[in-house]
Parts: sequence; C-alpha cells; structure tokens
Amino acid sequence: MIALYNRKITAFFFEFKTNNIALYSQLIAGFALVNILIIFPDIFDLYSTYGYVNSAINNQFVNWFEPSLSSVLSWLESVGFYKNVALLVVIIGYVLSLFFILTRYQPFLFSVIAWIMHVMMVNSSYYFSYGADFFITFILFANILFNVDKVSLKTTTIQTIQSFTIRFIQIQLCMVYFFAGFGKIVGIDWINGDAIWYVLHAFAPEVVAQQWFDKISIPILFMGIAWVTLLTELCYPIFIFYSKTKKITLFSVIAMHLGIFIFLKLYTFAFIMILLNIIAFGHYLTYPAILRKKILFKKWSVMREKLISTP
Amino acid sequence: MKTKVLLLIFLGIHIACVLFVNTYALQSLKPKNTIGVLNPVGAYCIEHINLQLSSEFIANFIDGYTNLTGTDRGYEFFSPNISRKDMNLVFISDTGEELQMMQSIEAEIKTFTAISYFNMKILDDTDWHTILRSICKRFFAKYPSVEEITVYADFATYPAIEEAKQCPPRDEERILISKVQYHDSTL
Repeated sequence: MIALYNRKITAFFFEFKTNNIALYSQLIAGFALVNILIIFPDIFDLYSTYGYVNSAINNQFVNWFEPSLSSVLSWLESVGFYKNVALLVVIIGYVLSLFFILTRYQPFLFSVIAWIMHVMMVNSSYYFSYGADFFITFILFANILFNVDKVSLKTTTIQTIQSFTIRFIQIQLCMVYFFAGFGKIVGIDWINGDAIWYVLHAFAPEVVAQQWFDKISIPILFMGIAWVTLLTELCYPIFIFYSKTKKITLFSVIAMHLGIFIFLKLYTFAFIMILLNIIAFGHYLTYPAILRKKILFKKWSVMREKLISTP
Repeated sequence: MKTKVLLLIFLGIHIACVLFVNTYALQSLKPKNTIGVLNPVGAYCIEHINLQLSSEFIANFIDGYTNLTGTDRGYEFFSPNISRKDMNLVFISDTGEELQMMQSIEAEIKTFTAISYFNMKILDDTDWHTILRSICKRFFAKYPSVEEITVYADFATYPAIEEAKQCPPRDEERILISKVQYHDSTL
C-alpha cells in the first residue's frame, strides 16, 4: 500500500513530461523584459532612492534580511556613480540578464540574477507594487528551477527537478485561485453581483457609460459574471485536474483574465496569469498545437516543392 | 531519491508558508477589522480562524521566504467586498497645471495601488504628511519651476446597481488636503 502510494507520488511529481522547458523559460524572460521596458518611463519615480516614496519611508516595510535596491544604490553611489546612473546600471543589469536567458546564454546564472534583482525592485517600491509584480517574482523564481539543465547534474535529476517545477506552479495556482475565491465568497458584493458593477466603475468608467447598459438586465448579468468568477476560482484546484472539466476550467480562467485585460486594463497582471496557466496546464491544449504543426508542415511542404520545381 | 525527498520537503514548506500568509490575510477580515460586511456563513468561517505565531524565528522565516518567492501579500484580490467609494489624489501646481505621477501603461494601476495604501495612512497625520512631502519633493525635482503644490482628494461614490438603468452620474466631491511648498518638502 505504502509502495503504491510512493509510486503515485513519484509519478505525479517527478515523471511529468517536460518538453517545452526552454521555451517556457524564454517566454518568462521575454515577458519580464517587456514588463520592465513598459515601466521604463517611470523607473526613477518608482525605484530611485528619491522616488515618490523615498527609501526612508519605503524601508519601514522591508525587513533587514530582505534584499532591496537602496543598499546596492548607496554602494554604487559611494563608488562614484551619480544617483540616477546607479539605478540605470541596476536596471540595465536586469535587462541584460533577461536578454541572456532569452538567448539561452548561461540561463541558470542569469535566472538567479534576474530573480534577485526583481525582488530588490519590488521591495524598493512597496507602495506601488501590486499582484503582477509578485507573480513575476514567483515565475522568475520558478525559472531558476527550469534552467537546472545548464548545471552539471545527472539527466535524471534534471528531469526530476523540471517535472517538479511544473507541478510546483500548478499547486501554486491552485492555492492562488482558491484563496482569491474564498476571500470573495465570504463577503456580500460578489454574491449579489454588485462587485462587478463597482469594479467596472473603478477601472472602466467608460464601459458603464455605454448606452447598451440600458437594454440588458444588469443585476442578473452581473450576478452571473460574479458567480462564474467565484466558481471558477473556488473550484479551480479540483476541476483543473478532473479529466471532464480540466479543459473548460482552463478556458474559463483564461477568459476571465482576458476580461481583466480588456475591461480592467490590468495588462501585466492578465498576461502573467495567462502565461502561468499556459506553463502549468498548457499540455491540455495539445490538439491546437498538433493542428498548427500540421498546417505549418503542409505550408512548408508546398513551399519546398515550389522552390524545388522552380527552374 | 535524495533529490526527490528534498524537493518534497521544499514543497511542504512552500505550501505551509502560502497557507499561513493567506489564512492570516483572511483573519484580518474579521468584522471588527474590516470596513466591509461579511455574509453569515462567511462571518462564521472567518470568526473561527485563530492563527497566531509565537516564534519570531518562524515569523521571520515565513516573511523572508514569501518575500523572495513573491507570495507575501496574499491572494484576496478585491475581497471580501468592493467599496462604492473611490478616492484619488490630485496634485495641482502653482501655475494651475495638474501634475501626473507617472506616464507608462502601468501608471494607472500602480498609482491606484499606492493610493489604496495611502488611504490606510490617512488617519495617521504624521505618516500621511511624511508621504505627501515625499511625493511633492519628487514633483519639485521633476518640475523645477513649481514652488507650491496643492493636494486635493477627489472622492467619488458610485451609483448602486439598482439605479443603473437611470445612468445617474457619480457623486463627486473634491476636498483640499494640503498645500506643500518647496521648502516644506525638503524638511
């Protein structure tokens, strides 16, 4: 009985097929790169020692053992860098690390560097950091485990760690959605649908001003959206693993994040959550991938024949 | 085998830390602590959460680990309720220009997040003014010609869902918070 139990645990955590690890690592690095480039116009306001919330105020929220930019920037300033140049040096270091992961040059080393630099940036911007920033920290942490193949380990150990990392992300997502759903269901606004109405007012006032709102039964519509959100989040840990519901759950959760992207305009948050779901459960989407490969292969075959037949 | 055992121990620690952080976050929703209202079943569940850590070492370990893995703030997004009231800070220069805090695509959500935290500080006069001075100091550095910034709080109350068909306007109010002069911000 114990042997069977051990066998199941081993199979679940350590024998998961991991074909696309390098691609996932590149997607993570690419996403983090786009993110830092998007917020680049605001980096001095967010991360500088003299940003909107200066380091003296910010550091009240950072424990002494948690890495933050202020000590690195102070050191760089002490060796002669101007304050803004010192921050630029750190940001360029982060961008280069992500670029090297993207090009697969020393990905393990640069995954560690990118992760620690991102943690420092988040810790140096306590007030301005939100969900997306924390999920980027998490995915950069997981990215280190994805890149263990570049460390001198046995092939079986590498496969074991990479398989475990996919399960680790899956379990993390289950906890994320469960607590997100549980937090909502103990209140009132998500049960009667008011939450959707207020969220739209807060993030998309132009949507609630549209004329078509007059023509639909708003309370029922919003209650429906709220309940679908609640059920998707609360039941995610079970439905995402159950064979009959796993695909619909994955599609529902991706649709929910697309809604967040379009209506709430939380672009980075929506993207990182979709990326996490694809990395964790993207193997459910095998059919479209096969289809795409076949179409591409057909196109390539036709092109090749034309090229060969051209005198 | 050794790698597998180590990985499972790591997973156990990770799950324990994330469960602790999120359960603790839920505990803070107890009716006496929250501005929102819980439904009866929710209130019963939350009331029975009683999580305490006596060991400072374990608390520091959880803080440190969850900080490094980006799991330290919990996942109770938009929970348990969403306020009908909204507040935004507006910074007006002495030339009458409205000063924008940031410009990137992420500016809106980052400013929204920061203002949500500032709201929690509004009752603490010292903290609140320290933050305001820090923000204004940055503005003075970015706009050297500005010598005084007037800070307003724009309060908005959204119409209730039952009033939606009438499309009533938001109830909006602007309140003067503070006037910060260049020399104040450098204090």
